Amino acid sequence: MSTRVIKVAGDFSRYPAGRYKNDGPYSGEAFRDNFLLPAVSAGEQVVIDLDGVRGYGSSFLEEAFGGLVRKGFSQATIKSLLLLRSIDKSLIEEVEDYIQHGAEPDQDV
Amino acid sequence: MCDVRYTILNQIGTWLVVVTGWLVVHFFTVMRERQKEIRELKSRLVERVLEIEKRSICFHQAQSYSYENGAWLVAEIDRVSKTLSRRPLSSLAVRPEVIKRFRQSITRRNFDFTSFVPQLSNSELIFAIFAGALDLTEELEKAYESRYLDSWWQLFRD
Repeated sequence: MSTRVIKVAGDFSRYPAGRYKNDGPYSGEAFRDNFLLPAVSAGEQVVIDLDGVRGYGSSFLEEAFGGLVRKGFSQATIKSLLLLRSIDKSLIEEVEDYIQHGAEPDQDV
Repeated sequence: MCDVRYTILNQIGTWLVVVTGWLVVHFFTVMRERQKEIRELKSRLVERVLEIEKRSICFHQAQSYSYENGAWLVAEIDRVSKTLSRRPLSSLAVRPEVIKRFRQSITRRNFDFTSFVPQLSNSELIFAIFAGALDLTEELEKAYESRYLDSWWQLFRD
């Protein structure tokens, strides 16, 4: 069975922005709740394709991925289920940091 | 018979010298052109980083939140990051963590409508932006220096 690919640009928005839903319809919280949480809750392994958008704010990435840890999922579970894909290695490194330090959102990583 | 062999060998030797000379000159020409291209791209990128630094400070110190300026910053930071991920500037091998820290310094805190508070010029956030931009421009200069100015073939340049 092939792994499902979630393309942020195609499935969510080319203009992701904001941390919380109150910041806009394409916030990190909305992406987490609509795409990441269902996949991780079901134990489904998915590829997250981060390319093709107009850029990410760190607050979006922190809430989307670090927020999963705060929702109670272990770092090991998240890392094993979410496979990140991007030509930009700094984005992948940043998301991995948020998964690692998700329990402390204000800590510098 | 010996004279004929000598002449042929002599001609082969001459051609070898000519071809080798051409290859060496061509190599140095290509390297010089590549270095010039990378230097120009790197300088433009440094200018772009400094522009992002300036506009991000304006964004964080503004009296009201601006969606437009926030979107511009996100797009420009992404452009810098992608430019460094693709050829030819990927040859500089700038460390992803430096780009990550630059993006975080601007877009992690106080970047959204619900959390925005105008910053004073001596706030921790403004200093973090200065540091992030400085680290990235330094990294670019060092990477260029190490990749091109310290190369062995620079010994043969004027």
